[in-house]
Amino acid sequence: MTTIQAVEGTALEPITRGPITRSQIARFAAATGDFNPVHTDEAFAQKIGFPSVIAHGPLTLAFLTQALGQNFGAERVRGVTAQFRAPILPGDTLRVEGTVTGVAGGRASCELRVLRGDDDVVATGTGTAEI
Amino acid sequence: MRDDLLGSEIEPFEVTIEAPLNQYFLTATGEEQPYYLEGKAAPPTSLFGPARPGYPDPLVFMGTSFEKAVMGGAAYEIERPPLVGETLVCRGRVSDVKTKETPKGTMTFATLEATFTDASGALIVTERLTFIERP
Repeated sequence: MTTIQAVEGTALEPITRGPITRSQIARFAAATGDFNPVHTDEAFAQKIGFPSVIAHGPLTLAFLTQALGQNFGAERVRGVTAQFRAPILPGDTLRVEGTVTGVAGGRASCELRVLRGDDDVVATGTGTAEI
Repeated sequence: MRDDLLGSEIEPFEVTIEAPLNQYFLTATGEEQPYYLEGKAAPPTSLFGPARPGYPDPLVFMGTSFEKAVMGGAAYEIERPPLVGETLVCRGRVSDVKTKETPKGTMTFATLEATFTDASGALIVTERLTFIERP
């Protein structure tokens, strides 16, 4: 069920996720089978230039999808995209925000962003949902 | 990455949405939506699974490595959420390859597109994962 007024310019109800933990990253690796050592091996992650292990991009995408679902209804989400702009690290708390950018053909389109702190945009994306 | 990457196809394989693995995904992602917590449907993003039986490691498939490549973006088009217990057929191919010259060398952007269809052949989800290989 759509829980927000799907009108252009309407802000989505934000969701907060985190703090992200190493165990959560490890659980996501196990759930998906993505054991890229940049997510699971501290020494490897540092060797290739990250301060620590980083979260999987698709974990962030899952958060974007959850934000759409919380606003429009999980079964109504029809599309989500994400561009990963910065690594997400253990300890990060993320806030997923969005705005309705258009309504047409029974669907709402949204711009989405994932913030670390007040203004550090770590991912951007778009979403589509039936209304 | 491999020079002949564009258009390369993955051998089709079956994905069964198994309840225990779905539950594990819900826990790992902190899912709170009752629609998924009921256990009848699975989040479409849970189809991401490079180590599913039959699915090649995407980085190895594209001729790159953990040391050089990262995921830069991802997208899902969703006709309906997958149902727990159903078996989908996944077909994948490299749908786009672009390069960009930088002061440090050539960066390569490759998109691996996978479609998931149900037993009737209907498209359920399209997944696009874009990987970036550093110079």
